[in-house]
Amino acid sequence: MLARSLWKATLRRFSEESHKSGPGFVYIDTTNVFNPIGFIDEIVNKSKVLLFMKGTPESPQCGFSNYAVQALNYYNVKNYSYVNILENPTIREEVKKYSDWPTYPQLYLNKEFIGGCDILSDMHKNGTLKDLFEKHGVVSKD
Amino acid sequence: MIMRFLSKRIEEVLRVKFTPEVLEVVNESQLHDKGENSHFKILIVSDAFKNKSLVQRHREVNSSLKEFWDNGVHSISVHAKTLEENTGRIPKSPYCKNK
Repeated sequence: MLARSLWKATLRRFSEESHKSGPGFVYIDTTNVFNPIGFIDEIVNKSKVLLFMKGTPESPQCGFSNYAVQALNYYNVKNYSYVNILENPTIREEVKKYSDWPTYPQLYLNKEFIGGCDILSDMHKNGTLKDLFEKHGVVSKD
Repeated sequence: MIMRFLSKRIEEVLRVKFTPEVLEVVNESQLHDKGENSHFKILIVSDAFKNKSLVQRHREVNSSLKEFWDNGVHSISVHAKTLEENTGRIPKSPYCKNK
């Protein structure tokens, strides 16, 4: 019976997982992280575009995080990696310390911390966000 | 710490630190589900922000409000501009309730 419930849990996880990545975005699994700081450092250094957000791009759990996703879509920034910080409370707290930033979402471009929703919104309104994405070479041609 | 009149207290701290030309502190907690004093929006215009990046400005505002972060404030939305950059419009915040 234990084996059966474990199998069911695995199946459920597998079907949930298949919705987590999608066209244009890649899910980073933080459910089993043993060295949070090392893990965060690694994904920041390895990702061209990294978004720490609440929820997923298909189902944001916060208006601010949703804004960040919409901004990336609007400027045609594709294949970004994202972390759903609701998934792991330790990662949620460690990322705030790592970035020295108390809120989500948080966007990194080529290891550089860009900011959260307010900064993206201010830059979008004054026209500098497009330049920023182009400067980092993350705008998709298609 | 008494949580009343939080907007006013936030205003006082920011006035002392940045001597802003324009300062608006709006309690937006009613847009969210985390209590009465959880979410604030700040528009602050001051030349103290000259030559500072948006991230730097935001960090300075956040650290000046450290006592509020430590006491239950969940989110502070910051729009920090210099006099030259100020258009006079307060940006609208995203709506979050029931998420």
